[in-house]
Amino acid sequence: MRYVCETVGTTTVVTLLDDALDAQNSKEFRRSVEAEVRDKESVLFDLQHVRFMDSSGLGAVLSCLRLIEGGGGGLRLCELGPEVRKAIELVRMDRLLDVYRNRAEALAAARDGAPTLET
Amino acid sequence: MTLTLTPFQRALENLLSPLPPHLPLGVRLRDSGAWLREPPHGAELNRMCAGNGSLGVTLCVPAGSEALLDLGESLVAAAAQLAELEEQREGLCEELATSYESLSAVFDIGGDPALLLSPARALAKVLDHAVAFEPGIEGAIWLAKSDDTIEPTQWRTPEPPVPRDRGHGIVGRVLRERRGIIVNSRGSGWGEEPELRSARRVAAAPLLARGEAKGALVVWHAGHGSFDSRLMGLLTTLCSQAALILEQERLRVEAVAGEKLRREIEIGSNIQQVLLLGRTPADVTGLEIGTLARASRQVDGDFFGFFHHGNGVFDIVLGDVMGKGIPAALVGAAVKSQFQRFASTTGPAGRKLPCAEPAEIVAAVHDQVSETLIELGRFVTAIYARFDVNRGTMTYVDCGHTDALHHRADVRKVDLLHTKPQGRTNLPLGFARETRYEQVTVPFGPGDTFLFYSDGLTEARAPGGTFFGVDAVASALARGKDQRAQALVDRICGEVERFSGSVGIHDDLTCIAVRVTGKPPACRLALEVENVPGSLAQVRRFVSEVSSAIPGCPFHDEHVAELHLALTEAASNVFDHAYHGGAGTLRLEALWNESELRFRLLDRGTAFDPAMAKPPRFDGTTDGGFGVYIIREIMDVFDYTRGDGGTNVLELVKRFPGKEGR
Repeated sequence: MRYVCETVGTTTVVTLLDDALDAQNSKEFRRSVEAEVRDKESVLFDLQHVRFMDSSGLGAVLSCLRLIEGGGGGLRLCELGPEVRKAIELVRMDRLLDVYRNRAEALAAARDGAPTLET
Repeated sequence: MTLTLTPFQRALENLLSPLPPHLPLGVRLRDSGAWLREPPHGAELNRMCAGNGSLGVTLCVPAGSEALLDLGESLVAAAAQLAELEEQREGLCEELATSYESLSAVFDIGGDPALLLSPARALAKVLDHAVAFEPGIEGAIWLAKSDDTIEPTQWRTPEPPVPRDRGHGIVGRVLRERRGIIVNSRGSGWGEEPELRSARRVAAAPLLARGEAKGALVVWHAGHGSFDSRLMGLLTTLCSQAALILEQERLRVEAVAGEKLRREIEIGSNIQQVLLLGRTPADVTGLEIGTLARASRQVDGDFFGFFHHGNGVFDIVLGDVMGKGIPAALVGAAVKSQFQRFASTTGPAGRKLPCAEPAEIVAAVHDQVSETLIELGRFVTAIYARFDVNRGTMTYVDCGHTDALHHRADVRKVDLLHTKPQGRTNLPLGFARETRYEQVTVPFGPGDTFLFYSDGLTEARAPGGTFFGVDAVASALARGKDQRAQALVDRICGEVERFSGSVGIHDDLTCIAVRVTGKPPACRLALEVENVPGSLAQVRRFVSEVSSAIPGCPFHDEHVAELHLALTEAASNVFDHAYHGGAGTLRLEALWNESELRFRLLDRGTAFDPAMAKPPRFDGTTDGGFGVYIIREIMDVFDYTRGDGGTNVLELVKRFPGKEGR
């Protein structure tokens, strides 16, 4: 599991380089990325390379979401492909996640302090 | 600070030590955040990382240095291989016994009707099963009293535990949270309970009846080790048994007759749903099953069960306990569990046992229950039927039950199955101590339908007092012969309801339709994958290949995306649960005919029925449990069987768009 971790303004951007987040790399994703995003105020997952995500991948994203929100921060996602979007909708996670079309829009929202989750 | 390193980390440290110090490669231990190898320039903001989460390290290099990352990853892989050699030991047999423990406990307790009449003995037996889980376990069953105290009713510990305040300690926590709790570390999670003074680990589960916590089953151990979900599974099963026993006892002493009746109906229908009826199998290759189970106001003790044997062999039992009310329902549950026991071909540790003939199964159940039934003055009629799809035969043993019906598609005629084997009728269970059971075999063909039912169906009355009768059932069957099995039983139920009109239906209506669906799909493509990185991606490529190989390509992109997801979930389930994340081979077969695509996943790992998985929560508080939910959302059929020779078979069926049916 490979990713690029960069800081843009106050946002930590994690770009996954693998084309799938499934049961075979989601544990790894969770463990490595959780350490990167802990206590960050704004985090963006750029999923442009991820073509497929299964329930364990979704679970890993959820666990990051809880961790970030637990620390008072916000998580945004961008560049979701159709299969990833389908999986998110199947388990009704679209209500919990804050999704943007592309990186620019997500970063703009983070800069403007737009709420990351309407509850 | 000195770090305690795992074998893997030690191996990695050794491999890293000869690297030139100026190489900008950092290796960090994820848990402690400590560096196993510190990068020379300190941490950089923008960098590339490759984590290996399961090994607990993250590699960091400056952005763009992919070659260096490759080097790091190959060192990690080498270290992992070195460490793996050290780690291969123990823990193999443990999981194998899982399902067997819970099942045998239910057989033992639920299977003995006499125990149902003595709550103290039954609870003692529940506790015996819990403490038998591991040598050295002690335990107690606590009951909540009306004055906010709790009192032990059974215990397996040298000193009897003392009654106490209900808010207290681990029992207090279980009663409040109404869920099972495992605490594997000493001194946290439980209070000053005297009996737990030397315990190192404690597990407790609530006794839930009608949504309330009535007490708790607590076990503990003074030795090192840890309790796991396997024990919790057993405790949960035992607690539902105990709750049933307590509820029955409470009813017995309940003074007010009206209140008693109301509760009896409530509990009766609970028993009926949980113990007597259970799940209808979605589909068996070549057969389609429909069931009807309408509980009456007075519980009747009708029961049915289904047993897969693999290789196209599938058994049904449908029975009816003479008499009404909770006692009849409990007898029904006990007798059904005996059928389950003798029909089961899974022995201890998941071993496959030979499959007995129907007449042998019935005779074994009779031997087990007849004495008690005679003592209780009850008897049970039943029909036990075995379908063999490959041979095209149905073999049945009728124990004084209502005659089954067989609609033959070739001659368009309904046969009443009332052949008397060797000129005599088999007796109901509990009629006589000594009796013989004979079986009869009938052939079937594509499009045939069988109907099994209890007398509640034929004895439903019209306002004028006439019975619905077997002829009316037979003509309903003939009219509904082309419907799907479930639509057929629904139709019959509707006809009975219209027939009874204002009189209403007073008995349980129980009915099973089995329709022979004709040629099963043939296997066209297969794939074998090992549990190695990338195999799930291989599964998805196979799914794409299959989708485009089906003539006419009935699935478009969105369907294929769904199939990717469902098959990935199913395959990772196999790797996780059958092989526990270790090595193992998964065989994937794709079969199709003109109306459906069927995937079969075969593995030789631990028995695991995904249907037993808990339903997921959608509020973001849990990360897991979505896999089975996703598969069910996407596929039309999702079924598990334990086949011959210890093979797990998962079947996932997707009907072609426009051919979904139902």
